[in-house]
Amino acid sequence: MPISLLLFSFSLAYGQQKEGKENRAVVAGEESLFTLKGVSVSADLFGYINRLFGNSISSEVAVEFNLRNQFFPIIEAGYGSYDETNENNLIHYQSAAPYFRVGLNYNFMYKKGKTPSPSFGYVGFRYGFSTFNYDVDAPNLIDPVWGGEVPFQYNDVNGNYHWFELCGGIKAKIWKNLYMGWCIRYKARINVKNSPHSNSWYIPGFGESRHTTFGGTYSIIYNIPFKKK
Amino acid sequence: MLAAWLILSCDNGSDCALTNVAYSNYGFYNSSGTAVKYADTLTIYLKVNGADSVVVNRSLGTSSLKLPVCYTQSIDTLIFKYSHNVIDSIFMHHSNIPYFISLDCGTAMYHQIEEVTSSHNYIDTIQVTNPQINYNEKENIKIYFAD
Repeated sequence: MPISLLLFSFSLAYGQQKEGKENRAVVAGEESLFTLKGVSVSADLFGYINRLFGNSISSEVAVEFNLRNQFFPIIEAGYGSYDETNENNLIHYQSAAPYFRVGLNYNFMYKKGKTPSPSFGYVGFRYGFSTFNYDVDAPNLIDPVWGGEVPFQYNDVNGNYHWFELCGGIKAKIWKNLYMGWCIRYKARINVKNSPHSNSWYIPGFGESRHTTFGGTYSIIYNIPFKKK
Repeated sequence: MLAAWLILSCDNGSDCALTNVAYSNYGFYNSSGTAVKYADTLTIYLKVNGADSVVVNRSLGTSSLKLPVCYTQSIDTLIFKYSHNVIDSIFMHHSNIPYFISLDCGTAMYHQIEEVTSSHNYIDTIQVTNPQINYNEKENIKIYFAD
Protein backbone atom coordinates (compact mmCIF):
# COMPACT_ATOMS: atom_id res chain seq x y z
CA MET A 1 0.00 0.00 0.00
CA PRO A 2 2.83 2.49 0.66
CA ILE A 3 4.07 1.82 -2.90
CA SER A 4 0.72 2.72 -4.38
CA LEU A 5 0.62 5.81 -2.16
CA LEU A 6 3.99 6.83 -3.53
CA LEU A 7 2.87 6.17 -7.07
CA PHE A 8 -0.26 8.09 -6.39
CA SER A 9 1.71 11.07 -5.06
CA PHE A 10 3.95 11.09 -8.13
CA SER A 11 1.00 10.68 -10.36
CA LEU A 12 -0.89 13.47 -8.66
CA ALA A 13 2.11 15.79 -8.89
CA TYR A 14 2.53 14.92 -12.54
CA GLY A 15 -1.15 15.35 -13.22
CA GLN A 16 -1.26 18.71 -11.52
CA GLN A 17 1.87 19.95 -13.31
CA LYS A 18 0.33 18.94 -16.59
CA GLU A 19 -2.87 20.54 -15.54
CA GLY A 20 -0.96 23.76 -14.89
CA LYS A 21 0.18 23.82 -18.52
CA GLU A 22 -2.97 22.74 -20.22
CA ASN A 23 -4.92 24.35 -17.59
CA ARG A 24 -7.05 27.28 -17.85
CA ALA A 25 -7.08 25.89 -21.31
CA VAL A 26 -10.37 24.82 -20.21
CA VAL A 27 -12.99 22.75 -21.76
CA ALA A 28 -15.35 24.55 -23.96
CA GLY A 29 -18.95 23.53 -23.69
CA GLU A 30 -20.74 21.70 -20.92
CA GLU A 31 -20.46 17.93 -20.69
CA SER A 32 -23.51 15.98 -19.73
CA LEU A 33 -23.39 14.00 -16.53
CA PHE A 34 -23.97 10.89 -18.60
CA THR A 35 -21.03 11.41 -20.94
CA LEU A 36 -19.24 8.07 -21.03
CA LYS A 37 -15.54 8.84 -21.00
CA GLY A 38 -14.25 5.31 -20.65
CA VAL A 39 -14.55 1.86 -19.18
CA SER A 40 -12.03 0.08 -16.99
CA VAL A 41 -11.66 -3.48 -15.81
CA SER A 42 -9.79 -4.47 -12.70
CA ALA A 43 -8.70 -7.46 -10.67
CA ASP A 44 -8.26 -7.47 -6.92
CA LEU A 45 -5.00 -8.74 -5.41
CA PHE A 46 -5.88 -8.19 -1.77
CA GLY A 47 -8.00 -11.34 -1.60
CA TYR A 48 -4.91 -13.41 -2.33
CA ILE A 49 -2.72 -11.45 0.07
CA ASN A 50 -5.36 -12.05 2.72
CA ARG A 51 -4.72 -15.79 2.40
CA LEU A 52 -1.37 -15.24 4.13
CA PHE A 53 -3.09 -13.95 7.26
CA GLY A 54 -6.28 -15.96 7.45
CA ASN A 55 -8.15 -18.95 6.15
CA SER A 56 -10.14 -17.18 3.51
CA ILE A 57 -9.27 -16.41 -0.07
CA SER A 58 -11.17 -14.48 -2.66
CA SER A 59 -10.73 -13.40 -6.23
CA GLU A 60 -12.61 -10.46 -7.61
CA VAL A 61 -13.01 -8.53 -10.85
CA ALA A 62 -14.78 -5.27 -11.51
CA VAL A 63 -16.06 -3.20 -14.41
CA GLU A 64 -16.23 0.55 -13.91
CA PHE A 65 -17.81 3.18 -16.13
CA ASN A 66 -16.36 6.66 -16.28
CA LEU A 67 -19.08 9.30 -16.48
CA ARG A 68 -17.61 12.75 -17.11
CA ASN A 69 -14.52 11.79 -15.03
CA GLN A 70 -16.65 12.52 -11.99
CA PHE A 71 -18.97 9.59 -11.34
CA PHE A 72 -17.97 5.96 -11.72
CA PRO A 73 -20.74 3.35 -11.54
CA ILE A 74 -19.14 0.01 -10.78
CA ILE A 75 -20.08 -3.67 -10.82
CA GLU A 76 -17.93 -6.09 -8.84
CA ALA A 77 -18.10 -9.88 -8.89
CA GLY A 78 -15.98 -12.32 -6.96
CA TYR A 79 -15.65 -15.75 -5.52
CA GLY A 80 -14.72 -16.30 -1.90
CA SER A 81 -13.85 -19.44 -0.02
CA TYR A 82 -13.15 -20.27 3.59
CA ASP A 83 -12.03 -23.42 5.34
CA GLU A 84 -11.10 -23.37 8.98
CA THR A 85 -11.05 -25.54 12.07
CA ASN A 86 -10.94 -23.84 15.45
CA GLU A 87 -8.27 -25.76 17.33
CA ASN A 88 -9.78 -24.94 20.72
CA ASN A 89 -13.27 -26.29 20.16
CA LEU A 90 -12.63 -28.42 17.04
CA ILE A 91 -15.45 -26.82 15.08
CA HIS A 92 -14.91 -26.96 11.35
CA TYR A 93 -16.56 -24.55 8.91
CA GLN A 94 -16.20 -24.35 5.18
CA SER A 95 -17.88 -22.40 2.45
CA ALA A 96 -17.22 -21.25 -1.11
CA ALA A 97 -19.53 -19.10 -3.20
CA PRO A 98 -19.75 -16.10 -5.52
CA TYR A 99 -20.70 -12.61 -4.46
CA PHE A 100 -21.70 -9.40 -6.20
CA ARG A 101 -21.62 -5.69 -5.50
CA VAL A 102 -22.95 -2.69 -7.35
CA GLY A 103 -22.31 0.91 -6.46
CA LEU A 104 -20.80 4.22 -7.38
CA ASN A 105 -17.51 6.04 -6.87
CA TYR A 106 -17.26 9.80 -6.79
CA ASN A 107 -14.04 11.55 -7.83
CA PHE A 108 -13.75 14.28 -5.21
CA MET A 109 -10.85 15.87 -7.08
CA TYR A 110 -12.97 16.59 -10.12
CA LYS A 111 -13.22 20.25 -10.97
CA LYS A 112 -15.63 21.43 -13.55
CA GLY A 113 -14.00 22.92 -16.64
CA LYS A 114 -10.48 21.73 -15.82
CA THR A 115 -8.52 18.91 -17.39
CA PRO A 116 -8.98 15.90 -15.08
CA SER A 117 -5.94 14.29 -13.52
CA PRO A 118 -5.52 10.63 -14.54
CA SER A 119 -4.93 9.80 -10.87
CA PHE A 120 -7.47 10.75 -8.28
CA GLY A 121 -9.06 10.01 -4.94
CA TYR A 122 -12.62 8.92 -4.53
CA VAL A 123 -15.34 8.00 -2.10
CA GLY A 124 -18.22 5.71 -2.86
CA PHE A 125 -20.77 3.19 -1.74
CA ARG A 126 -21.73 -0.38 -2.57
CA TYR A 127 -24.65 -2.72 -2.10
CA GLY A 128 -23.40 -6.29 -1.81
CA PHE A 129 -25.07 -9.67 -1.68
CA SER A 130 -24.15 -13.31 -1.68
CA THR A 131 -26.04 -16.58 -1.67
CA PHE A 132 -23.96 -19.47 -0.44
CA ASN A 133 -23.89 -22.99 0.98
CA TYR A 134 -21.68 -24.10 3.83
CA ASP A 135 -20.74 -27.13 5.92
CA VAL A 136 -20.30 -27.01 9.65
CA ASP A 137 -19.40 -29.87 11.93
CA ALA A 138 -18.46 -30.00 15.57
CA PRO A 139 -17.90 -32.50 18.38
CA ASN A 140 -21.07 -34.11 19.74
CA LEU A 141 -23.13 -31.99 22.12
CA ILE A 142 -23.09 -33.62 25.55
CA ASP A 143 -25.99 -33.02 27.92
CA PRO A 144 -24.22 -31.81 31.09
CA VAL A 145 -27.15 -32.64 33.37
CA TRP A 146 -28.90 -35.74 32.07
CA GLY A 147 -26.14 -37.25 29.97
CA GLY A 148 -26.47 -38.41 26.39
CA GLU A 149 -24.92 -37.03 23.22
CA VAL A 150 -26.27 -35.40 20.09
CA PRO A 151 -24.19 -35.38 16.90
CA PHE A 152 -23.47 -32.06 15.23
CA GLN A 153 -22.96 -32.08 11.48
CA TYR A 154 -24.77 -29.99 8.89
CA ASN A 155 -23.83 -30.01 5.24
CA ASP A 156 -24.95 -27.85 2.33
CA VAL A 157 -26.69 -25.37 4.58
CA ASN A 158 -28.06 -22.49 2.55
CA GLY A 159 -27.81 -18.85 3.56
CA ASN A 160 -27.78 -15.40 2.05
CA TYR A 161 -26.44 -12.05 3.13
CA HIS A 162 -27.00 -8.45 2.09
CA TRP A 163 -24.78 -5.62 3.11
CA PHE A 164 -23.85 -2.00 2.46
CA GLU A 165 -20.39 -0.52 2.10
CA LEU A 166 -18.87 2.93 2.31
CA CYS A 167 -15.49 3.12 0.67
CA GLY A 168 -12.69 5.51 -0.02
CA GLY A 169 -9.57 5.03 -2.08
CA ILE A 170 -7.24 6.17 -4.75
CA LYS A 171 -6.55 5.25 -8.34
CA ALA A 172 -3.02 5.97 -9.59
CA LYS A 173 -1.67 5.74 -13.12
CA ILE A 174 1.32 3.43 -13.52
CA TRP A 175 1.90 3.26 -17.22
CA LYS A 176 -0.20 4.11 -20.25
CA ASN A 177 -3.63 2.63 -19.58
CA LEU A 178 -2.51 0.65 -16.58
CA TYR A 179 -3.48 1.83 -13.10
CA MET A 180 -3.40 0.52 -9.61
CA GLY A 181 -5.52 1.48 -6.70
CA TRP A 182 -6.68 0.60 -3.27
CA CYS A 183 -9.95 1.04 -1.51
CA ILE A 184 -10.77 0.84 2.19
CA ARG A 185 -14.27 -0.42 2.88
CA TYR A 186 -16.53 -0.09 5.89
CA LYS A 187 -19.17 -2.82 5.67
CA ALA A 188 -22.45 -3.01 7.52
CA ARG A 189 -24.94 -5.85 7.45
CA ILE A 190 -28.41 -5.14 6.12
CA ASN A 191 -30.00 -8.56 6.31
CA VAL A 192 -29.01 -12.17 6.84
CA LYS A 193 -30.78 -15.48 6.36
CA ASN A 194 -29.59 -18.02 8.90
CA SER A 195 -30.60 -21.66 9.04
CA PRO A 196 -32.57 -23.15 11.98
CA HIS A 197 -29.35 -24.78 13.16
CA SER A 198 -26.64 -22.27 12.50
CA ASN A 199 -25.49 -18.75 11.98
CA SER A 200 -23.69 -18.06 8.73
CA TRP A 201 -20.12 -17.52 9.82
CA TYR A 202 -18.15 -16.60 6.70
CA ILE A 203 -19.77 -14.45 4.04
CA PRO A 204 -18.07 -14.33 0.62
CA GLY A 205 -17.30 -10.69 -0.15
CA PHE A 206 -18.08 -9.55 3.38
CA GLY A 207 -15.88 -11.64 5.66
CA GLU A 208 -16.73 -13.08 9.03
CA SER A 209 -20.34 -12.44 9.96
CA ARG A 210 -20.58 -9.36 12.16
CA HIS A 211 -22.83 -6.35 12.23
CA THR A 212 -19.98 -4.26 10.88
CA THR A 213 -16.49 -4.91 9.65
CA PHE A 214 -13.70 -3.39 7.59
CA GLY A 215 -12.16 -4.67 4.41
CA GLY A 216 -10.16 -3.55 1.46
CA THR A 217 -9.21 -4.18 -2.12
CA TYR A 218 -5.94 -3.60 -3.89
CA SER A 219 -6.43 -3.68 -7.62
CA ILE A 220 -4.66 -3.65 -10.94
CA ILE A 221 -6.80 -1.65 -13.34
CA TYR A 222 -6.81 -1.42 -17.11
CA ASN A 223 -8.54 1.53 -18.70
CA ILE A 224 -10.03 0.60 -22.05
CA PRO A 225 -9.21 3.59 -24.18
CA PHE A 226 -12.01 5.37 -26.00
CA LYS A 227 -11.03 6.85 -29.33
CA LYS A 228 -11.41 10.59 -29.43
CA LYS A 229 -13.44 11.81 -32.35
CA MET B 1 -30.46 8.58 8.90
CA LEU B 2 -27.54 6.74 7.29
CA ALA B 3 -25.19 7.89 10.04
CA ALA B 4 -27.64 6.75 12.69
CA TRP B 5 -27.90 3.33 11.07
CA LEU B 6 -24.12 3.01 10.89
CA ILE B 7 -23.74 3.95 14.55
CA LEU B 8 -26.54 1.68 15.69
CA SER B 9 -25.13 -1.24 13.76
CA CYS B 10 -21.68 -0.64 15.18
CA ASP B 11 -21.02 -3.66 17.29
CA ASN B 12 -18.88 -6.57 16.38
CA GLY B 13 -21.36 -9.27 17.38
CA SER B 14 -18.61 -11.57 18.56
CA ASP B 15 -19.20 -11.51 22.33
CA CYS B 16 -19.83 -15.03 23.53
CA ALA B 17 -22.44 -15.87 26.16
CA LEU B 18 -21.08 -16.54 29.64
CA THR B 19 -23.20 -19.65 30.06
CA ASN B 20 -23.03 -22.82 28.01
CA VAL B 21 -26.46 -24.19 28.96
CA ALA B 22 -29.79 -22.79 27.78
CA TYR B 23 -32.20 -22.87 30.72
CA SER B 24 -35.99 -22.80 30.72
CA ASN B 25 -37.28 -19.96 32.89
CA TYR B 26 -40.53 -20.19 34.84
CA GLY B 27 -42.30 -17.39 36.73
CA PHE B 28 -45.00 -17.77 39.43
CA TYR B 29 -48.14 -15.64 39.32
CA ASN B 30 -51.46 -15.45 41.13
CA SER B 31 -54.72 -15.74 39.24
CA SER B 32 -54.86 -11.99 38.68
CA GLY B 33 -51.47 -12.04 36.97
CA THR B 34 -49.31 -10.53 39.70
CA ALA B 35 -45.87 -12.06 40.25
CA VAL B 36 -45.87 -13.92 43.57
CA LYS B 37 -43.71 -16.00 45.84
CA TYR B 38 -45.15 -19.36 46.68
CA ALA B 39 -45.87 -18.93 50.40
CA ASP B 40 -45.99 -22.57 51.46
CA THR B 41 -43.29 -25.24 51.48
CA LEU B 42 -42.57 -26.43 47.99
CA THR B 43 -40.46 -29.25 46.65
CA ILE B 44 -39.93 -29.58 42.91
CA TYR B 45 -38.64 -32.61 41.06
CA LEU B 46 -37.56 -32.71 37.48
CA LYS B 47 -38.22 -36.07 35.88
CA VAL B 48 -36.28 -36.94 32.75
CA ASN B 49 -35.50 -40.37 31.34
CA GLY B 50 -37.43 -41.90 34.22
CA ALA B 51 -35.11 -40.38 36.83
CA ASP B 52 -36.18 -37.81 39.40
CA SER B 53 -33.94 -34.94 40.44
CA VAL B 54 -34.81 -32.53 43.20
CA VAL B 55 -34.40 -29.00 41.91
CA VAL B 56 -36.11 -27.16 44.79
CA ASN B 57 -36.08 -28.79 48.21
CA ARG B 58 -38.70 -27.74 50.78
CA SER B 59 -38.31 -24.15 49.88
CA LEU B 60 -40.36 -21.23 51.14
CA GLY B 61 -41.01 -18.20 49.00
CA THR B 62 -40.02 -19.60 45.60
CA SER B 63 -40.99 -17.14 42.85
CA SER B 64 -39.21 -18.40 39.75
CA LEU B 65 -37.34 -21.38 38.39
CA LYS B 66 -34.43 -21.80 36.05
CA LEU B 67 -34.17 -25.39 34.87
CA PRO B 68 -32.03 -27.32 32.40
CA VAL B 69 -33.79 -29.07 29.54
CA CYS B 70 -32.97 -32.58 28.38
CA TYR B 71 -30.99 -32.74 25.11
CA THR B 72 -32.18 -36.16 24.03
CA GLN B 73 -35.84 -36.39 25.09
CA SER B 74 -38.80 -34.36 23.94
CA ILE B 75 -40.83 -34.32 27.18
CA ASP B 76 -39.57 -33.01 30.52
CA THR B 77 -41.81 -33.56 33.53
CA LEU B 78 -41.84 -31.17 36.44
CA ILE B 79 -43.44 -32.38 39.67
CA PHE B 80 -44.58 -29.84 42.27
CA LYS B 81 -45.00 -31.35 45.73
CA TYR B 82 -46.86 -29.05 48.10
CA SER B 83 -47.52 -29.49 51.79
CA HIS B 84 -50.02 -32.23 52.73
CA ASN B 85 -48.56 -34.31 49.87
CA VAL B 86 -50.59 -32.56 47.19
CA ILE B 87 -48.91 -32.86 43.80
CA ASP B 88 -49.12 -31.09 40.43
CA SER B 89 -47.32 -32.30 37.32
CA ILE B 90 -46.21 -30.14 34.42
CA PHE B 91 -45.33 -31.69 31.08
CA MET B 92 -43.19 -29.61 28.78
CA HIS B 93 -43.07 -30.90 25.22
CA HIS B 94 -40.09 -29.49 23.36
CA SER B 95 -37.87 -29.95 20.35
CA ASN B 96 -34.10 -29.83 20.68
CA ILE B 97 -32.13 -27.58 18.37
CA PRO B 98 -28.37 -28.07 18.08
CA TYR B 99 -27.08 -24.63 17.06
CA PHE B 100 -23.81 -23.29 15.66
CA ILE B 101 -23.23 -19.81 17.08
CA SER B 102 -19.81 -18.97 15.68
CA LEU B 103 -16.37 -20.45 15.26
CA ASP B 104 -15.23 -18.62 18.41
CA CYS B 105 -18.33 -19.07 20.57
CA GLY B 106 -18.95 -22.67 19.55
CA THR B 107 -22.18 -24.65 19.55
CA ALA B 108 -25.16 -24.79 21.87
CA MET B 109 -28.30 -26.78 22.43
CA TYR B 110 -31.38 -24.59 22.17
CA HIS B 111 -34.95 -25.78 22.59
CA GLN B 112 -38.35 -24.87 21.25
CA ILE B 113 -41.35 -25.35 23.54
CA GLU B 114 -44.11 -27.10 21.60
CA GLU B 115 -46.72 -27.44 24.31
CA VAL B 116 -47.07 -27.35 28.08
CA THR B 117 -49.80 -29.17 30.00
CA SER B 118 -50.37 -29.72 33.70
CA SER B 119 -52.64 -31.10 36.37
CA HIS B 120 -54.73 -28.54 38.22
CA ASN B 121 -54.65 -29.16 41.95
CA TYR B 122 -53.02 -25.88 42.93
CA ILE B 123 -52.07 -24.73 39.45
CA ASP B 124 -54.78 -22.76 37.70
CA THR B 125 -53.29 -22.28 34.23
CA ILE B 126 -49.98 -22.31 32.41
CA GLN B 127 -48.99 -19.94 29.65
CA VAL B 128 -46.04 -20.15 27.29
CA THR B 129 -44.82 -16.58 26.88
CA ASN B 130 -41.63 -17.28 24.97
CA PRO B 131 -41.26 -20.68 23.31
CA GLN B 132 -37.59 -20.23 22.47
CA ILE B 133 -35.18 -21.48 25.09
CA ASN B 134 -31.76 -20.06 24.37
CA TYR B 135 -29.16 -17.85 26.00
CA ASN B 136 -31.33 -14.75 26.25
CA GLU B 137 -32.66 -15.68 29.73
CA LYS B 138 -36.19 -14.42 29.03
CA GLU B 139 -39.09 -15.93 30.93
CA ASN B 140 -40.55 -18.83 28.96
CA ILE B 141 -43.48 -20.04 31.03
CA LYS B 142 -45.89 -18.37 33.44
CA ILE B 143 -47.46 -20.60 36.09
CA TYR B 144 -50.68 -19.16 37.53
CA PHE B 145 -51.69 -20.60 40.91
CA ALA B 146 -55.31 -20.79 42.02
CA ASP B 147 -56.13 -18.41 44.89
